[in-house]
Amino acid sequence: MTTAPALDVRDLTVGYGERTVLHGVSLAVPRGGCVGLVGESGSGKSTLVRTVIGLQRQRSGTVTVADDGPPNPVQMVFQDPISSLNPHRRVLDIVAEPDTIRGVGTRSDRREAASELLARVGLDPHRYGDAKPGKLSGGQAQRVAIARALMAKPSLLLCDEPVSSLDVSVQARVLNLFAELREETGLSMLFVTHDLAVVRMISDDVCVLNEGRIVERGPTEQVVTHPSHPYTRELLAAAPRLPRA
Amino acid sequence: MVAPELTLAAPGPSGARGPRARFAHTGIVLAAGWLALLTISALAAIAGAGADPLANDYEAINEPPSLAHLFGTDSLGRDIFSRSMHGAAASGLVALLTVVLGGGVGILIGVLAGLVRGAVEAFVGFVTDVTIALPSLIIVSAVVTLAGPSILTIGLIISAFTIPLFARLARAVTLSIATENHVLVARTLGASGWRILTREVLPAVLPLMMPVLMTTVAGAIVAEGALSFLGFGLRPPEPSWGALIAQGRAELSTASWLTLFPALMICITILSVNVLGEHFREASR
Amino acid sequence: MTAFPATESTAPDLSAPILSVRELTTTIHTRGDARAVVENVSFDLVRGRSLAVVGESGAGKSMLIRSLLGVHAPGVDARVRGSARVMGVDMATADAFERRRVLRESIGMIHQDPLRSLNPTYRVGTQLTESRAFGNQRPSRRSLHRRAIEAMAAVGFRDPVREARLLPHELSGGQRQRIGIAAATLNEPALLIGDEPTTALDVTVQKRVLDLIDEMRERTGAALLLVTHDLAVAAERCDDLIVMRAGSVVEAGPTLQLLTAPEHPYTRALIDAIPRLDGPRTRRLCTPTEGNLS
Repeated sequence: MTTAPALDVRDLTVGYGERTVLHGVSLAVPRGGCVGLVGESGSGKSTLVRTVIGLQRQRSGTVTVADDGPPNPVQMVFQDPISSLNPHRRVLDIVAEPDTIRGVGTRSDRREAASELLARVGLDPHRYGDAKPGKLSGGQAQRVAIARALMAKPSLLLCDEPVSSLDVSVQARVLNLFAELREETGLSMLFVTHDLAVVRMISDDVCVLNEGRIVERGPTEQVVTHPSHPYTRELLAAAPRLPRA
Repeated sequence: MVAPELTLAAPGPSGARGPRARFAHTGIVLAAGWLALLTISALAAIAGAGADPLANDYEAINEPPSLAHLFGTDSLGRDIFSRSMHGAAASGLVALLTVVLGGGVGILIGVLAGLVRGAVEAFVGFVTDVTIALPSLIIVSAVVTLAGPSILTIGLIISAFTIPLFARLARAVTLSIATENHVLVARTLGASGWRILTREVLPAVLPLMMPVLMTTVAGAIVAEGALSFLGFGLRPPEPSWGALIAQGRAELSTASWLTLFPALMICITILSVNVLGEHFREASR
Repeated sequence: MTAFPATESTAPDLSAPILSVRELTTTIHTRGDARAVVENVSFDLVRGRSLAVVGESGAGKSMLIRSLLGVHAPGVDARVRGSARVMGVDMATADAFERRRVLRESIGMIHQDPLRSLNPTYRVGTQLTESRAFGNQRPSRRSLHRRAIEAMAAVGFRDPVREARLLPHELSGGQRQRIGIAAATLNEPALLIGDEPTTALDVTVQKRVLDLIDEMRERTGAALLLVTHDLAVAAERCDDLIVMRAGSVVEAGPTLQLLTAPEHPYTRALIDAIPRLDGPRTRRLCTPTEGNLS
């Protein structure tokens, strides 16, 4: 069973009413791997995310998540970190929430574990543990959300534009954190974004989604340097670039 | 090595209060103080303190305010101060029922409709629409005529009419909160419906409902006064602010204190409740 | 109105800056507390040139624009020192009538969120005629409508007569931003100000919108002040660059020189923090820290 991928999506077709949004999409995230899913608005990437976490029923096809750990094997990191944290609760309780719901350990055990994870994502638990989300910056809130997701020990971390609303320097830190976590914990990730450059840094493989179909897939380096599909070429051509020093 | 993301967070506004804030603060203290004083006086009056509101004293008919009778007496020599305090108790009961029955049930129904959606939402929507369309005044007078005028009946029926108001608003607020990502996360973590309701949704809904709760309570107190004034509320000799004003109306030119003091009580109380409501509205932003 | 005799001269001076900012400092006053959000900013923008103001949130970019226009949010006690002259008129000290005239005749604004900057109850064609109708002499409705249709055609609407009858929410984000550009360029203003005009858009749409802005500038010769958080967008579209941080200018200069040989460590760090599509693949990004900011 250990060879089964962390996420296996096969021939997924999803629609709302008359409209079909995803047309037979297949993709797999191997254990410990990271796959980038690149698409613009209307490409169907949000629908794919909603279907993977079970908020949207598919017309046909299957979504299989490796299920060898605790229940609820998929955890999410959202674009808007502030709205993903309950504003009325304290940071440590938010991070401890997955274990609280599952009834793991005592409250102090859970807060202990949450403190360690907060420190792991680069937030001082003594300074921020008892803060409420309203006191956090966007980058700090995103770290809290990542710590909470790690607490749930997910089989798959589903990141939906997790750095798009952050400032450049904060984005760089959060991306570095993702890279470190991948190397240290062997986390499996599906990284959904509109930004090919971000995918190039964070993930080995990429799928390009356009109008509900995956038009190109492969190792990120190859797709970025030698795109084969016209849409991928258009994406790459449109991306603004900095001059080389 | 402090990261700029930590240091660049905008400093919050300083704690110093400007004149406007100080004014608002004084208003809140006065409003809360008045309501507290009124509550204590009304409770004391019910417990038997002060003059009997129903005791006639033909030695002291239509006496102007004095030390013996702070608000004066009416045409049967009854103490207006005592009657006003018992009237406050009647208004307090209406307010309490509005909060508990109207607010409690209404918000619960609304939140459930917003969370569960589907048939529940459609049913709640239909019932609230129908209730809001009903001619409330006519129904209240009909019920009072049939069931007899007791303050409990009047309070129950007034607060029942506020249920759809709260349900409708709570549903709208819940719909937007339910789409927030932290609610979604709780669901992906396998949290129970009860936990999502009490931990994620209600703490966000309740502060938003407070200002409306206050305005509606004020409205309910006025409604009771209006009903009693029109003769559909408490019947004489039972005291209620509206009934007191109605009784004093005939003698407005000769004994103005009969209407003046109950009217003042209504005005100050409603003002206080609204000041608090406005405060909650500001605070919830 | 005698303060600026230059406006009376017969031949317009083409080399005079369209926008001239000198030692501009804006402080926000809140209840006995003052905070500088723009500090000692100076620059010139001449006809036909483009200048980008880049920085992260809190850098003071939007406060700079508001100070330039002399328009602040209601309830905000902002005090501006120094000067910001648009076509010779100091927006900070000009009276309301004069300032509105400059806003109307010389400046075109392109906002970040076109859905919020368009009136949702007006059809887009009406919206365009409306932006013209604030002027002193009122042209006929028919000629206004014709101009609106022309403007929509100029920003790439295929069937402007039909599309002019749509409401803002019936358009896509890119289409709305094209209406925004049409409205901003309708008066052929000397100065176009873009406030994060493509931040809400997809990259392919962003490219088309930026191309359109370039095209409109070529047609009218307008100068562009582009405020953006995206260094790469600034690099591709602007002649000169100003990097701001916490209200102050960190570094300013010609775009290519500033980006290939930055002098200030913050600029360097900002450049290195951006993931790239070219060059060797990086596993870790450099992040600006206090250490290399001094």
